[in-house]
Amino acid sequence: MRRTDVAFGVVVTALGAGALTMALFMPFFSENTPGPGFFPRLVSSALVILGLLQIRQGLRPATPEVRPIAPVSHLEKVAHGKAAPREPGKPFLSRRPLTVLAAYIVAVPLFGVLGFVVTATLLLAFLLFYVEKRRNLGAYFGTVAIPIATWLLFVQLLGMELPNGMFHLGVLGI
Amino acid sequence: MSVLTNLIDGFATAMTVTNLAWMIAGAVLGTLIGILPGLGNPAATLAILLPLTLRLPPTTGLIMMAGIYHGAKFAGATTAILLNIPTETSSVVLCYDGHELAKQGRAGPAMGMSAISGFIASTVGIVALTFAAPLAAQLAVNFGPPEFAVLMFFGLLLVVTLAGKSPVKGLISMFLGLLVSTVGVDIFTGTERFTFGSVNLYDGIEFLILTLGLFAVGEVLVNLEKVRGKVEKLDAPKRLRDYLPNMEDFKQSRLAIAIGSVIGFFIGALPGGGSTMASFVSYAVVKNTSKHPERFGTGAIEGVAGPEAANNSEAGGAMIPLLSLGLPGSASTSVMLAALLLYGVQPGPLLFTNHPEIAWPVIASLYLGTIALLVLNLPLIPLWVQILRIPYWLLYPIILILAVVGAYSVRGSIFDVYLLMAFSVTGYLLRKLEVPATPMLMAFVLGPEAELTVRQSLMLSNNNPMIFLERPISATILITTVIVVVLSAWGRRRQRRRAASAALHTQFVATAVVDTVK
Repeated sequence: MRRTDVAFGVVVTALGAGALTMALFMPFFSENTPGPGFFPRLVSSALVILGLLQIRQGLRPATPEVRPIAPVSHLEKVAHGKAAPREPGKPFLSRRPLTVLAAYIVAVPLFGVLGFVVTATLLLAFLLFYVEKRRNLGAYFGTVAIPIATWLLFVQLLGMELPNGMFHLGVLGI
Repeated sequence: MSVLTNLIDGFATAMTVTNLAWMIAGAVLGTLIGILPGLGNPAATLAILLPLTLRLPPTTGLIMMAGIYHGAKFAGATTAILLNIPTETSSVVLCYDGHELAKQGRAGPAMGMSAISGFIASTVGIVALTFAAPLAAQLAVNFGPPEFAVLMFFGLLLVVTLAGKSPVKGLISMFLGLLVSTVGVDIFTGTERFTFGSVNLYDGIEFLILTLGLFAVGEVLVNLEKVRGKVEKLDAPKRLRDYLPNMEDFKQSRLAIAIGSVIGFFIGALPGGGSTMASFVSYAVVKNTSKHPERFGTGAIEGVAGPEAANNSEAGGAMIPLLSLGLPGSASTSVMLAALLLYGVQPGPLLFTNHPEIAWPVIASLYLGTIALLVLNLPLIPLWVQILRIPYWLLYPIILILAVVGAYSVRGSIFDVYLLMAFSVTGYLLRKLEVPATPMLMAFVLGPEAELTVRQSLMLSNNNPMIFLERPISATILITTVIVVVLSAWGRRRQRRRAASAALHTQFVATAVVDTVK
């Protein structure tokens, strides 16, 4: 059994069921033509079915990939089917990407408050000093230079918009 | 003759100073971003530069995208040969012989052969495209909504069957993409669908947000799990003549280039084919037809020429379904399709009649892009290699920052950055769960058109679904789809049975050996 596949199947089934529930409130047919609920109902129903299939596949015993490291006695096979030796596995989700993702998510609401340059500087500082543990000149320089260079390139040179802070200081979008 | 006239007009349009400048800029930027580990795949490169290309007029923007596409592919070959690190999957096969050649002090001829074989194959691919695309478009004029609907599902299902190990996961990815494509206001009735009352979702979800989240940020998060050791870099040759293969190299590679050109073009024309499959199939065929197959893997120059030829002629083949039918066959062409739609240009059979000023310059720019790469990028390889000195711990925060810039630039809304987060998490989890993301992207791009054509078909037939079987072209495509799906399922079942019986045999032999020893 693969727990991750089963969990994925459960999530997909739940998502499909939720979408189907919402789609049921949309007309399947309106004025004798396929309505707004037509496609969503078909797609979400398919997701429910596929989610259940995924659960079933996840519950299936895995194909024998692990070679036996010792013969299994006939008695054990008959009595309770000795499991293949379990290999130690690393956790499904690693700490480093989760930390980076969390920092990223925390930074998003700050863009509208502090502006792009300040928030990006804080984000870079966290990533370089805390996550990557870099305290060299390159890291210090990059923390400040990269957000400013990005702002200059995209806002000043290319005329694009980046989030401005709520202080309206008129400097680097803060 | 009109095809040639149109092509000449296309070259005339593409070769204005402005268009050439942006094409070269695209090729340089494509190589610059494509050479970065963790971001090098052409789809992510195109997506990141999409906000920039969309600010240009349609013809110029698409010409630039053609340059970016070629640049990103070229970058993959450079890192595969010099560092044994392919930045995109189609360059994996170059590591086998390309890096071996580099270790033997022949990095220059390997990269030179990669560029030259790519140039020759691109020429073949684009010449074939020039004649095949209008032909396909003429055939497609007879297509109505039922034919387009069935064709889209054929393309999507083909990508699913070819995409990953598990068809169920591939189908889940596809239907997730279709579901996400329904978010927004229904164009027929104005009904809100899955907007949760948010005004920000009335216009649906922007393509760039999905692509950046799935392919750029998601990729960065996966790469963060890998422990990066110090990569031993090989020095790139400094003089231009060091990049030139010798006559013996050309003699050994000519058949490989021919094989790769043909294989790449035909596989590129298939939805779901892609440059990865093209390069692997080409390598296998070149090796099996070689008089000395034992040389492959030890530094055979034709092991570089064949796959790179296929990789580049695939671009020409991939343009046929994209331009003539509006059907993308890969993540990269999905990005291009999205760009065309954002410009208000509907690819399909009428593209060549309604917008020849866009279709032919794009075809011409594909050719010009390969010349730009040969002339410009090859001598700049020592510079590109310096880019690789930027450590990843500095690089990935830059990528994350650029992704925020890209997401915010779409509508100037922080909500889109929140959506970027959501799709980044989705992309990361999909990779961890071994769910292919390409079907999701393709389905998202094709979803609105697929829904429109299905609804139109049912309206035409008074809600009779048999319309898909009653029309001959539609029925043919449907039957072909069923045959491909059944064959694929049967093939997988056979593989699983073989794997299971091989494992049982191993177990039996191991037990027998232990019993004998006892």
